[in-house]
Amino acid sequence: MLMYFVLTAMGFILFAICIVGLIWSIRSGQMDDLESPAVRMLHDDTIPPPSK
Amino acid sequence: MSEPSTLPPDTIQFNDRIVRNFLIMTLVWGIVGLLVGVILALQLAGMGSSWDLGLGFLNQEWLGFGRLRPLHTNAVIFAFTGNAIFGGVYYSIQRLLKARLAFGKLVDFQFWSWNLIIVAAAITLPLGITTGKEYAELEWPIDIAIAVSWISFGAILFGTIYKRRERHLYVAIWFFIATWVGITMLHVVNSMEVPASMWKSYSLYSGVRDALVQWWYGHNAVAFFLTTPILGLMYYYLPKAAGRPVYSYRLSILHFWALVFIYIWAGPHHLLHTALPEWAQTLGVTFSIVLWMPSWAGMLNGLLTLRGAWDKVRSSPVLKFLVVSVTFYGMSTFEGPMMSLRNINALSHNTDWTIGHVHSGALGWVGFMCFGMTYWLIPTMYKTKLWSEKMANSHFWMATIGIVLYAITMWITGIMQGSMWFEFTDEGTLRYQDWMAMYTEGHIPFFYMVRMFGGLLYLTGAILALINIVQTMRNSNGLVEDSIQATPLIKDTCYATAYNEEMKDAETPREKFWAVHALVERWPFLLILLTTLALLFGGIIEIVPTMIQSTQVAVPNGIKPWTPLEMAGRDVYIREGCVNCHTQMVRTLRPETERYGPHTRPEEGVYDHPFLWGSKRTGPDLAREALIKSSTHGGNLWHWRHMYDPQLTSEGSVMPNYAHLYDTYMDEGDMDSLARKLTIWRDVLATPYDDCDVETVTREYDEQATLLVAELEGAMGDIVDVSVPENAKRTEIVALLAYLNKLGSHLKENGDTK
Repeated sequence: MLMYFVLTAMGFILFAICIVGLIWSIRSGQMDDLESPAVRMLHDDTIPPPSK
Repeated sequence: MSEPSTLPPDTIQFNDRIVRNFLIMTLVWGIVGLLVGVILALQLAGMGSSWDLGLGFLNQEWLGFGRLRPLHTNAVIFAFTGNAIFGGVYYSIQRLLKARLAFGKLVDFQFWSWNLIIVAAAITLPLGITTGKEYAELEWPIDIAIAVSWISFGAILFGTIYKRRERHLYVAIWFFIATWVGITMLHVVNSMEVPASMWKSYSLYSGVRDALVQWWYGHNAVAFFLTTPILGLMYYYLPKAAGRPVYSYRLSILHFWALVFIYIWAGPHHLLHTALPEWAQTLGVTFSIVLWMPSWAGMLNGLLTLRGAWDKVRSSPVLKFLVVSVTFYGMSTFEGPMMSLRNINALSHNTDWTIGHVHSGALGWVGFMCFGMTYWLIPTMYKTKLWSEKMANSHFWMATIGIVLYAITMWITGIMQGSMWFEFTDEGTLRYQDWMAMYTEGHIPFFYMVRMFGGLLYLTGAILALINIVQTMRNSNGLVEDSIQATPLIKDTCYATAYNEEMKDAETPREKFWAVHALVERWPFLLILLTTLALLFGGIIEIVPTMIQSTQVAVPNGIKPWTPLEMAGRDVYIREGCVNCHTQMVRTLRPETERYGPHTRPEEGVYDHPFLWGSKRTGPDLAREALIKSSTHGGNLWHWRHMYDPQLTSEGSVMPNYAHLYDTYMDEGDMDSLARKLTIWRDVLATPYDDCDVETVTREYDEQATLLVAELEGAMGDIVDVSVPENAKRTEIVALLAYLNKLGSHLKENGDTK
């Protein structure tokens, strides 16, 4: 039986980590803009290499 | 937090060399892993054993199926996929976070350590050095090396996140973070093993407990090594290659959080109809079904990204690979929940169907993603075009036909096996009593040849990929590492500034507490990291003593610890990888109890460190071998001839021969280490042994072995095809026979054989 508790505990630890991550992501504004990140990732703004 | 930085922008040069190195190793290890797979497929189709078509060399002891199979799985999962993940992650996070990879030296260390671990695996596994736990076969020193390399990966990932110049974390990064957190936890919990020597350890857990931990690990390794990182790669490389944003960013966020909250609970679906309590089985099934929804949300999100751009798929090999990959993700995440239904699982479990399912996932979803990504990355980084699009298209079609052939043949043989195992005659007896009859009547070797051909196509495609990529690099002007300009975020100012900012108005202790709290919140990933490590550490400290204590409690009726001889035989069983083809778990289903005997009960595994339930029945179940072979086949004599050459007893068998066990002797040194093992079992694993000194162990060993040999010679009579050598009592085969005699023997003593 012990193993069920251990693994359930592990599950809850992961659950807790996820909750922390979720709350942080909402509070820090990660979710404020759900449109532009999808477009911004397409542009790398790489500096063009110097032409010879 | 969100005001723009006033600091001037500076130039950041990316570390792209390491990405290139990882991608090359992806292809190299991919070819190795696939090649081993093809060899295994040949062996299963009967090559190198029954129909030796000049392929007798496949019959070497270190090339036996049981030893090579873990090499195949480890090479494909940890070497091929692992290198692709690191390469793909390191390229994308630098662009997404606008930062060069943190800790330059550590990045190189991580590359070399990971690849040396794989070399170590490629050496130790064929030598028979294995823990016997599926997908976690590597022995304890390598396990520690994996942990070190993996923690380096975490440091690089979180270090780069910490010094980022882009406040928003794109969804792909969330998937990468989940990967790191998940695998760290799984690896630590499942790798708890007690070393008995430099290259031999025993799982800390035993029996049903070990099975539960193992499949909690096994299932979630699929989740956090073959799903979340690959999804992260999909959310980066699919939009990049298509040149358009992901269909719905909102949906991708939902996809992520739903997956990470649900996945961890689905593990028990690997243990349906076993000695695992039913409530745990039901929990696993329920969450498996629930998982289907977020998975398909992700698949649709990927496919819909290409809406209005399907014309690009026709012309771009990269997109072809990515589209098929996402399609296989959808297929596998439907097949998985379906196979976890109790009634379907009763038929599909232990058959080839499962093998087909994992290959749809590993070759279809993961493999196509890794190849597609590589075909996009190398030309992009080398500022050139792919050397031959035609060749890439040929690779695509070979791989697609290969995987389809593979999946279809495994459906056919899997469903056929399941049905034949379950088929009853009108009189109510099993229709296929004879295991070999199912092979011949089902024409299974033919389908195995088709499967081998599918694998061969996939392998050939991978070789084309390596040629194409190397040629692309050779025909370019060399790798040019990209640079960007970016302004630092305000949070990039040092800890001291942040500390002063938060603390300047705090006067009372209460205010100071909240100021510190706010400070920690500014480095959330540090917080998550510290919490994880603290919880894991605390967990381990708590678990270990209780685990050891609780094993002392249950000593079930009639179940005795392994004698020295049986222990030696069990180690041979583990070394030769018998568990890869033979289960030791009679499920609670009538056809199984009819065929093998009483179903396996939880307490039976109390001395099984590690559990050896297995997951595939290429050969029959062995949990009741002592009952079956003693009553119908003349016991030891049958095993003696069978193991020397399986054709003597089972014509057409694809089992390799184990002739090398007949001239390998246990010497004094082996007796020494056997005594040491027993001592460790007594002292650490709480097994009730009295005397574990070398003299006692040797005496008990020889006594039992002498009896067995005498019984064997007595049974032999006129049969002289496999003679008994001199000093036979010390051969490894006799130890193995003693172990097989033990399986289920407690039922005989209890008179409980039905």
